[in-house]
Amino acid sequence: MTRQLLFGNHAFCEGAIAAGVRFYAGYPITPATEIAEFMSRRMFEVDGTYIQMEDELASLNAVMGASVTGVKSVTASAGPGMALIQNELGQAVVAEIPAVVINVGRAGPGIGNATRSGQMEVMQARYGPNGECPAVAISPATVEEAFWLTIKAVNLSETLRTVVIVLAEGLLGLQRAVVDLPDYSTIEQTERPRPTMPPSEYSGAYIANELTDVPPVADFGTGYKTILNTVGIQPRGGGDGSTQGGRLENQDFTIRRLHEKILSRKDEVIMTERHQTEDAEVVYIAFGTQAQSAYLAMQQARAKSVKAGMLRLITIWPFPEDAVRECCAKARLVVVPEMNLGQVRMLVVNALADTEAKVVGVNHVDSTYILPEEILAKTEEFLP
Amino acid sequence: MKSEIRIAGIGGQGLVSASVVLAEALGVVRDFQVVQTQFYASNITGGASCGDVVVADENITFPWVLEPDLLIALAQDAVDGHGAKMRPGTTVIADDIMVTNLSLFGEDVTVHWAPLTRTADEVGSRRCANIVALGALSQLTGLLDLAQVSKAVASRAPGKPETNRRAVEAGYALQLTPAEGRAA
Amino acid sequence: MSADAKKNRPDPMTPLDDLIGQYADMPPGNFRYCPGCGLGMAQSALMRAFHRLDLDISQVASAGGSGCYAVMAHYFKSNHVHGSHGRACAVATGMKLANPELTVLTLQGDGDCLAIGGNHFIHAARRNIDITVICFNNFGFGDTGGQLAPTTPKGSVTETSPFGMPEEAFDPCKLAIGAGASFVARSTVAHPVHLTKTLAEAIAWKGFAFVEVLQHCHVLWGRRNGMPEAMDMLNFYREKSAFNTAAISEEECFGSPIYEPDGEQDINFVLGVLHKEQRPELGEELAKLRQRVKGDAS
Repeated sequence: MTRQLLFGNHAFCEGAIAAGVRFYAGYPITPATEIAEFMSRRMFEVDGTYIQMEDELASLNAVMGASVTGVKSVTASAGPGMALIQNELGQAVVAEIPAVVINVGRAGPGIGNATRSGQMEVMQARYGPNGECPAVAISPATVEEAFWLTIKAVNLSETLRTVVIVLAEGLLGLQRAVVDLPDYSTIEQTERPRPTMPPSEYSGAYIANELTDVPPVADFGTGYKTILNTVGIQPRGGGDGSTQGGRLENQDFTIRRLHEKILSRKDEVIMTERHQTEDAEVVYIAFGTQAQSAYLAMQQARAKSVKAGMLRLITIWPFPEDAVRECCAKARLVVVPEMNLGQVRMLVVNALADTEAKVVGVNHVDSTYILPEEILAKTEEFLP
Repeated sequence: MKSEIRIAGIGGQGLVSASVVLAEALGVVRDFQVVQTQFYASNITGGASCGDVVVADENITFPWVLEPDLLIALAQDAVDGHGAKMRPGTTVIADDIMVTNLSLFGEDVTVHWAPLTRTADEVGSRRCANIVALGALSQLTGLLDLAQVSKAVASRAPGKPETNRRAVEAGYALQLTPAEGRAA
Repeated sequence: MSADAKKNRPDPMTPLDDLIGQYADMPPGNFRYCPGCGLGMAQSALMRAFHRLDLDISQVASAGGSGCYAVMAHYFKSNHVHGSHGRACAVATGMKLANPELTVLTLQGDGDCLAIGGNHFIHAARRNIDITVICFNNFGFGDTGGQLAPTTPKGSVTETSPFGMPEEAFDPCKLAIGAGASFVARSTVAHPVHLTKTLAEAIAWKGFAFVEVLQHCHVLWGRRNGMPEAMDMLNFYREKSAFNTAAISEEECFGSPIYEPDGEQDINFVLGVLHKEQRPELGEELAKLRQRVKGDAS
C-alpha cells in the first residue's frame, strides 16, 4: 500500500495500469487532458505504448487495433470528443473488440463549456451510437473509486468482449484526494475468452450457440485466422454454431446476443449502493459525484425524522431497474439530483411506472454541484 | 476535526498549486483525510480562481468547500467572490497590498492582514507569494509545523527549491495580528 | 545467378492454383466482385506478393473499412479488422504498435483512404509507422453506386457529377509524399507483373509504404465515360501509362488525371516507385524511448 495524494484523472490511469492496460491512444481535450498527459509518461514506464492520435476517432480506432492483438487498451475523452467517437463505439461493440473509454464529462452541447463539469452523457452512452448498440457504463463518485472502477471496467470489457464506458465528470477528474493504492500484483485481472481448439478447428471470432454466449476470440498473430467485422458483410457465426448461416438470421441473432451477453450477467455488471432504503418513504437516487450530496441530504432528512433512503447507481448501463424498484418499494417520493435536465429521472420514472411514487428532479446545468439543501427543499415541497 | 480551506485570488498566482501542496502536507505528511478541488476560468492567467482543501480526521462525505472556515485572499477578487460566504467566527488571511476592501466580510470574521506579496518580493520572486501564504497559514492555525509544510513544498513544488524553502520559512515567521476594528 | 537461386526466387506469375491453399480462404458461393472487376486481379497480385516474400499468412494483419474492396480481406487467411469507414490507418497504427511482429496492411478504396480517411492517412504517413497502405483507386465510390470521390478525374461523369466532375482530383501519390510517406508507388491491374513486384517491395519496406493501385470499375465509372467493358479500361490504363524511368521528369510523374477522351495528353499515369527515402520508423523510435525511460528510472 502506498498512500498518496492522487489526482482524479491520474486515478483512472493507475486503475487502467493496475488492470493490465498497456496501450493508450488519445487526443487532448479538457477536462480529460491530464489522462493523456499522465499516460504519455506512465505507459512507457510500464513497457506499454502511448500515442497521441490526430483526433478522437483515430484514438478509439488505434485502441481497437491494439486490442485485437491481445493488448488491453484505453482511451479517454469528453464532450465533443465523445460525440465524435459514437460511430467507433458502435463499431467496437458490434465487432466485439474489448476497449475502455473514459468520459470525463464537461457541460453543454457542441463544444460546450470546456472547463466546466456535467453529467450530460447518460443517454448518449446507451443511445448515442447508431443501430441499437448496447452499453456498459459505470460511474465513480470519488478519486479512490476512479481507480477501482477503472479496473472493473477493464475486466468487464474483457469478459464481455465489449466497450465499457467510465462515465465520470470534470468535477471528479480535476479533484485530488488521499488514496491508499494497493500493490498492483494483487489486483485480479480477467482475460477475454480465447480459443482452446487448434487453429484448424477455429472458425472465427463469432461462434456462439446461445444468445448469452461470449464467443472466444484469438489474438492476431497467434496462428489463427480472426476477422473482426460487422453484421451482414460476411456470415457471422449463427445460432446453429456454423459460419454458413443466412445473413438476416445472423443479423437478428447477433444484435440480440450483443445485448443478451451483457443482460444475462447482471450480477457481475450491475453495481449499486444502498443506504437505509428498507423503510424509506423518500428515496434519493443519484450517481457520480452528486451521490455525495444525496447522501448528506439523506442524513439531514433522517435527522428531521423523514424516513429517507438513498440509492447510488454505480452502474448506469445496463440501467439497474430492479434495484430502483426494490429500493422504492415503500417510497412515496423519489428525488433524482443530477447535473443534467433529468436523464436518469426519465429512467427512474420508467422503472417505477407501475407504482404510486412521485419522481422529481433537482437539476443543475450550470456546472455547480447540487447542495444537500436543494434536495431537502425539493423533499419538503413534494412530500405528501 | 473538519476544516474547509480556500486559497483564492486570480489565475496565475499559483492558487491551485498551493492547495495541492497543502493537501499533500495534510493528507500524506500528516495522516488526515483530504480532498482538494479547484475552480478556474479557462484562461491560464487572470480571472477569479481558487484552490480548495477539505480536511478531516474521518471519512469525507462531501468533497467541496461549501463555506470556508479559512480563506487566504491573495487578491481583491477573492474577497469580492467569497467574502460573503464566510461564516461567523471564521478566519481570513488577506494580502496587505493586493486586497484593499474588506467591507464584504461580516463583523465576526477575523481578518489578518499579511504581507504575503511583499515577503515574496523580499525572498526574490513575487510568484512564491502562494508558498509564503502556506507558511503563514501553518503557523497561524497550528495544523502543520514548519518541517511538515516544508516537506510538502519540497515534494509538490520541486521547481526553485531554494526560493520555495525561504518563502515557506519567511511565511512561517510572519507574526499575524487581527485587523483593528474587527472582532478578534 | 546459379540455377538453384533462380529456382528459389518465386516467379511473380506463379499459377494461382498453387497459392490458393496457402493464402486464400475461398468464399462459399460467388465472390462479391462484379464480373470483370479489377479487384480480383489486384487480389491475385497481392497473393503473389505474399508468396514472393514467403510471408507466414497468420502473421499478416490488415485493416479496412467500407467499399467494394472491403470483402477482399475475408478471402485471405490473414487476420483482419473490418472497421468503420476510412479509419483503417488508425486501426493499423494500433495493431503495429501493439504487436510489431505483425506485417500490417490496410486495404482501402480511394474514397475510404482519401476522402473520409484522409486525415488518418496523412498522419500515418507523417509518423512513418511500418504499415503498407494499399489504395484501390477506381475513380469513385463503387459500393454506393458510383459517386464522385476525391480521385475522380476532372470532367468525368459520375452519379453525383452528372455534368462532369467540376473539382480537381487528388494525385494520391503526391499527397502521400507531401505527408511524409517514405515509400510511394503506383501500379495498375493492367500490369500484373509490375503490380506484384511493387506490392512485394512495399510490404517489405520498413516504414510507411503507399501503393496506389489503379483498379478499373467499368460498371460504374467506365460505362458512364465511354469504356463500358473491362477490356476498354485495361487498354486505357495500358495506353495512358508509362513506367517511371530517368527519362521522365519528376514533374511529369504527378498530376491529377484530367478526363479528356480525345485530349492531347498521352500519359496520364506514371507507374513505378515514385519516392523512396529511409526515415526513422515510429515503432522503433518508441522502442528506443521505452529503453530510455527504463534507463532513467533505474
